[in-house]
Amino acid sequence: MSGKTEMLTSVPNADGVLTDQVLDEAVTGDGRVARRERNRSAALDAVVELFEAGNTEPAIEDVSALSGVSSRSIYRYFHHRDELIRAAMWHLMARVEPQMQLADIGQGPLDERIDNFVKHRLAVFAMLAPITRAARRSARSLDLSSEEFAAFQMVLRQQFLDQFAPEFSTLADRALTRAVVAAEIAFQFDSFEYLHTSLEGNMDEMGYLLGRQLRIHLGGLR
Amino acid sequence: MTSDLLDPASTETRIDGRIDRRLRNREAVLEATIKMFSEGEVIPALDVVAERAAVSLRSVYRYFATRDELIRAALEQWLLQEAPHLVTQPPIEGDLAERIEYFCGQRLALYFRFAPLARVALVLDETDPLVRDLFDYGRDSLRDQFAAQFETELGLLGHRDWEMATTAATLPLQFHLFEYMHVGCGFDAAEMHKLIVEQLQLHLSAL
Repeated sequence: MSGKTEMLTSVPNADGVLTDQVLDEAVTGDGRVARRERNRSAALDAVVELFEAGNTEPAIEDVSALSGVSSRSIYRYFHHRDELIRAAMWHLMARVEPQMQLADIGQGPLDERIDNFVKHRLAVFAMLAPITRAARRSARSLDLSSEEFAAFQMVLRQQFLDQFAPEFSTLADRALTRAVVAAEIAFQFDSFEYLHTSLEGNMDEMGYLLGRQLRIHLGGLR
Repeated sequence: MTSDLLDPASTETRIDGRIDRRLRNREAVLEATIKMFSEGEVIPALDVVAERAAVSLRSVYRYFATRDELIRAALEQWLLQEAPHLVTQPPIEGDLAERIEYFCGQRLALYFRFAPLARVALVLDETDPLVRDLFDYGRDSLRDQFAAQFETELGLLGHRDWEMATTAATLPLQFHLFEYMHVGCGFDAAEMHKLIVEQLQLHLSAL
């Protein structure tokens, strides 16, 4: 790291002038890395907070005002808005990760597992919905099929398979895929959005329908 | 004073010819874009559009200031061309199984016809009125068609139960889930048909 810093300090920019960034690095050395991380994190927290407050198109200036990080630094860390929003999304996902755990996975009678699963998914949805909605609206380059997002979905899918392993254990290959698809239909983000809109945000009704969807499929598999 | 340049008739012809060509070229650009959309392209490259429309790249930019503007204009034109196919069919008579088969067949045909268009729409800003109208229309017409086709089963339900039953049964027929089955899981039309028929049977026979 220090080698890179030294190299940067000795390289002037295209105009032959040392930029602020280069001077920053020369003065602070490794302390800079920590500060950079801190600032980056503060900026991302601010984006998440703005999204949650319903600001779907936060300007860099808003982020700067809320986080106390200068607009110039934000641009330096993220280059442009889409990148900032995408980073904020991963930031939030990392933050909610501990709450992604599903307790006693695969344990207990089917009814109980269905209820726990539905309750858990509704909570995850509530945590991620504001930013997912906002990010979709404002960051067109946000690739929801990207590797990181796919990994996140894999976790959710695996959790589903583990929770209902006893029911799925009797199936193989195509039959298993079909059953999983049928049962999982209700647990896509867009499905939550559809239910949320159609049922006017009534979480009890959403929970009831999701539980029913699982009971129809998992109960019938036995 | 007899110069061609100052002859009013000649000037008019020339301007008209230019406007004509301009309109023709603009149309060619839109048609080339629509053709590329229907081939599965979601964000067409402008140099390819220009080449296929046989106009210069500069002309494309003269007609459409940005790529988004072109995508939006082409989508709008495409939508107008396809609009007659969006009209939903009236309900049929028959027992529940027959009506479910028919209904699912209709929805799938609609999906395969409109999926390329919807994918393009989703690339545009979701808050774009054109995009919002398209998806609102899709959702509302699905609900209406569903309500008409399964009135026998739904008719006796109270308002809230009707909402819940309709929401639950129309969920598997949403665009994003067709995409999930077809693109995400690699199901073909026959497999999708079987799956959504099962879904509707489960939901409707439980009423």
